Amino acid sequence: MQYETFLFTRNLRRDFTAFIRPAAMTNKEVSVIASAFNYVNDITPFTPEQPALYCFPLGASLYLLRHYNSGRTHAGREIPVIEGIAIRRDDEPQFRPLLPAAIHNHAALLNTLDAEIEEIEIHTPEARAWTDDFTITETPFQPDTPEIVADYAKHYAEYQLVLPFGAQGFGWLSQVVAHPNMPLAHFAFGTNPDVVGRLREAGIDFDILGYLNVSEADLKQRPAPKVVDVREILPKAATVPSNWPATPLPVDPPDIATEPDFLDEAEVEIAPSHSTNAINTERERRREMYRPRRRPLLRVLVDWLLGKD
Amino acid sequence: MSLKVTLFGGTGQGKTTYTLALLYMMASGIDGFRIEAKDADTTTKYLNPWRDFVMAKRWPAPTMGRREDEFRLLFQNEFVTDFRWVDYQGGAINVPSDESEEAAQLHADIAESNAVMIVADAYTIATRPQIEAELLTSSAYIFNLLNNYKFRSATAGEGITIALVLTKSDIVPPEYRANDYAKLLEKARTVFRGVTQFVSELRAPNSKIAPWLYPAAILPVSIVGEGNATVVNPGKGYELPTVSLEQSPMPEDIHYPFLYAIGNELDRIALTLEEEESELAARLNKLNRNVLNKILRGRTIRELHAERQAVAHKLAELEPKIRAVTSVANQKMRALVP
Repeated sequence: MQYETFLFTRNLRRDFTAFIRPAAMTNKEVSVIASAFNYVNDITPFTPEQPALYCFPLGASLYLLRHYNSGRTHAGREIPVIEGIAIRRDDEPQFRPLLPAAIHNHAALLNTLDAEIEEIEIHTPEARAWTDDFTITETPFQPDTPEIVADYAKHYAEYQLVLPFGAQGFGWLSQVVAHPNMPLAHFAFGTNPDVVGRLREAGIDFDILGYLNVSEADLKQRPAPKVVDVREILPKAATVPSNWPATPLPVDPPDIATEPDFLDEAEVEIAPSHSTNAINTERERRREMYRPRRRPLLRVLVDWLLGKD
Repeated sequence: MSLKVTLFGGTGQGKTTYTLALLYMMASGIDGFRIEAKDADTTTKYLNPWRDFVMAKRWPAPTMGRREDEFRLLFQNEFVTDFRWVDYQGGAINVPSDESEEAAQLHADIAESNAVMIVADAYTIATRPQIEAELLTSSAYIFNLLNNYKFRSATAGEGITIALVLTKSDIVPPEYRANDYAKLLEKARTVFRGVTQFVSELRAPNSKIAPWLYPAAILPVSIVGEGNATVVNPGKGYELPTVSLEQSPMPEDIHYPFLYAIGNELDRIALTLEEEESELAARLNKLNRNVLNKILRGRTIRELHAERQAVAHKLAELEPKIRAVTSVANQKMRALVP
């Protein structure tokens, strides 16, 4: 099985961009990730040692990503890094049993920077082969695992599992994804509802969520039962459409207010044409130019007889 | 009628912080004006980072991607207009449109926008050599995009309102604040000389484009307010200044550029309606010329008359709104080309 790499961050010269991206990844898919993670306003809780972790399908790939504070700053603000690996969706059945090891080895596997950050240019590296370095024999058992975590595989289709972000929650996450009855889990561990909502707009439906403001594991009813992608069960290849939703903003017809009389009778001062009020000045000029002139009475009579108004 | 206002500016210039401050201050109301988001979640998404900014003294995170949200502007609780507000990562200006979705969308946004608000860091403009200030504020890139999609395009005759917003004006050196920011304004006009020159050229006698099509104004603003922030590191090369918020922010003058953009575009709509009304009046005059016409084409005359009345009605409703908006905006905005 092979995987490609992904790195999204910024450096001094270049604003946020996917410096490293899979070959099949489109600009729109990069934009989905960027606009979603834009909703994380405070990156400081996430470190390289304990990053936020995400696993979700997008376009032709399944992404396993980590999100953390790079320690670099831009105009005094922390710069985040979003990096990780991309698996072809057709390879998901092969990847599913490897996911626990991938999470366990996130520090090595998902660390994709392959050059000095200030020297890096946008590029698409060669795909890498999965190695035994990223295999673990078993997931460490946690004796304090709550029942709803241990039994989540039974409730997977109807519920999302909500975990506390931290070392304990990370341990529970590892156990859940390793459960033999779990399909390949999509998770956002170390996130917030705005990020989840934005990714949902792109068709991404998470199974497991990890929030900073949660202290206990809980189940949350899904808006609709989860449909398992057939590729998680059957290894047959299929074409994957982009998840980008085509939802132009609807524009409501304006409410035409009734005649407002909230202004006094004072007129706006007419400013010179080079002032900030130029359009209004032009309107005044035109009104003046096209104002009907008073005609002498005799002329009015003549015009009326001739049919000219 | 939904106006599109695009925020324009290089990375780290203050676009997002300006957006948060403006939406927060106008959510409660300033000078009788209030902004409402089209849905409650949008308001929450903007209020949360502003709350972090105020309470934790933490600047909003650098923007990734692009955001577009719909709002409505009200005056004394009466509807004025809908508008769409677009904010995105500043680096999209410097990137070819085939390299990023944001860059491609930015090009489309400029072409569609009724007004652009160019956000530029006043401290960078004041303290850096001119050529560095031009590059850090992306002024040349901004002019390039405006030139391509507005000034020299096939739609140049439609015009656009330009508001140049100088953020971080509270931390500029004292000599740039003196005489009502005279030196800062002069330098800003030089840094953005592409746009300034274009607006200036419109006044030439041989200009093919009427100058009023491109109302342009400038204003120094402060998101944090005088004395509430200090410069920790002035920055060098690519590094932008690092500013620390010492006390709770108190935004100053931030609503004027926005009202200026909206007011001018409402004026533009009114001008179009007046042209439409004049055209209808002219057609009516022609048809009313003789009795035969009045008999044979009575229905057409009635329809035209009804249409003209509808336009006049729209204008009558719009006029007080325009006056409300522009009378406030014009209190402070300065002409980009004096």
